[in-house]
Amino acid sequence: MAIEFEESDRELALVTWLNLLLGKARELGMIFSRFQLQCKGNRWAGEASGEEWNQSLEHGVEVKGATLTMLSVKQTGTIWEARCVVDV
Amino acid sequence: MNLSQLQQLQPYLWTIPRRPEEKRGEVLLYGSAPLLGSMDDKVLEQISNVAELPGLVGAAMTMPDAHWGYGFPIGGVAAFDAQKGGIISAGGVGFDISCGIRCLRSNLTVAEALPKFARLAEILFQDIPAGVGEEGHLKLTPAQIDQVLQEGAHWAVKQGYGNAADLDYIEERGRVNGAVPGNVSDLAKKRQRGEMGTLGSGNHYLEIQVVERIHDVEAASAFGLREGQILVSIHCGSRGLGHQIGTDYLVMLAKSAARLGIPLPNRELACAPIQSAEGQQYIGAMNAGINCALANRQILTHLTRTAFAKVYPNADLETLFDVSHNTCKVETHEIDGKSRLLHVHRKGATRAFGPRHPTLPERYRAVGQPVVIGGSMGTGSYILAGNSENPAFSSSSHGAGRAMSRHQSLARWNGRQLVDELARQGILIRTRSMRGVAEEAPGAYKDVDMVAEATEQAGLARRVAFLRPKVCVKG
Repeated sequence: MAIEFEESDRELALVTWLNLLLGKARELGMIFSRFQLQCKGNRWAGEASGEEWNQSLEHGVEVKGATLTMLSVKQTGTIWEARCVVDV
Repeated sequence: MNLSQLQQLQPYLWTIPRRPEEKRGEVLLYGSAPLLGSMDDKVLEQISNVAELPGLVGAAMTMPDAHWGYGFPIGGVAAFDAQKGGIISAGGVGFDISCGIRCLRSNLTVAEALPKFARLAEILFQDIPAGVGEEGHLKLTPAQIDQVLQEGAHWAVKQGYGNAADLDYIEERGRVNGAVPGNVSDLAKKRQRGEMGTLGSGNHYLEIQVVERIHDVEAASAFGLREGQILVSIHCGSRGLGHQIGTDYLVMLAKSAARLGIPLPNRELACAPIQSAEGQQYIGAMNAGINCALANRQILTHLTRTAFAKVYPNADLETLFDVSHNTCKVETHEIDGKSRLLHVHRKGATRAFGPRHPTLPERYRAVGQPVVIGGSMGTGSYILAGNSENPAFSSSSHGAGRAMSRHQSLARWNGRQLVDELARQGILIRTRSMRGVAEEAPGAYKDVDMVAEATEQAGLARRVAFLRPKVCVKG
């Protein structure tokens, strides 16, 4: 499943990416477990893949959405750290 | 929270002293010393940030069950004047727009119902779609979803879910004006397609309760409550549609604040002036989300009645009241002797109109609006009544409030063991997620007795009845 969006702010891009994933997962009835995301300038292109919901999967709590709370995307050396609070 | 940071104004009212250079508005915190002492410091930080938003009228306030959330704290109340540049904030409403509780009163006593509680639990577990990934029996077309968003609980009644008498006992009579379905994204509507009539997960529940204790005889009589009576509480909201509205508008409102030069102490307070295009767009979508939640609880009411009829053929379930606790509503309030139209944000807080309020059903007008404070599945809940002299824009607590994170709860409790222990106490739990039960452990929540007592002592609402849980279907 491919997702594309435009966003110049890296932190808002994280929130946008997570919320698009959540929306698509629910729309398609899927659980995503593999992700790729690339950006070229302000354009972001991502892919997510996984499996369909089924009763054998452990039922946790539903994530309503990614928020702007404790939102941070920063690079230290070669490592990127992305963080935000999700509402459950 | 270190209470030395606060100034106590009254036994159940505190404020954060302002330094001379601070430009923020007033902050008021309602609660007892133990309740405030158990709150995270982030509650103070978040409500102080809310007090910096433009157009704030009066104080930014927290209810006795407050805990930290995103943007606004959960249990946060703030009113804004659109004419004074006041703002609308998605964080002041929450992702689960119009999450709330529908409370039903029955004609059954616990003595009559008890012998069949196990069967009732199984039927409810079977008939009420609950839990992550569970879909409802209804599959709506886009046109039907637009009707739901416009008509709220009225749509559900027209389809045969419940009856017109229910509508009189729902806030806004089951339908809020100002809904604009066109402001709700196609993705939100697609998410909702199979979710009408579902309970959801997390802290959502359908609970069978018994009235164990009456506190206010007059109000209990007006509400039709008596000791030993069986009640039902249904706690859920606008499901995927509400969540998607929240996420759709979050980034837009954050950018709007920056573009319009609204200084935000923290970007998590994403907001826009009420009178801006973005503000009006969000309000139209939020109102659609409210109607979705009201319709959802109306459908669940019907499913509950059907389930009861299978076990108790003579059961009659009437709507006591339906309260929402994640909304922003346009209301008239008296400020310094003048009537003002305000946008009142209640994030994890319940509206609690007092006696003689014109919007109340005739039956309740002498005593005030019913308010429900939902506790945990192992403790209990309270029915309260609104007060005329409520000091917080007619707002009240909504629940026991979490005392620890879900991670902490999972580390401390085992779901299976909890279910077994509660069964020994006479409380039947039915769930598809033992992990969810652990996260919702009674010990993960504040003491509901303390919250209800503080709510009453602070003048927000007064206790009417205490309800003991007997059966709980968890999402």
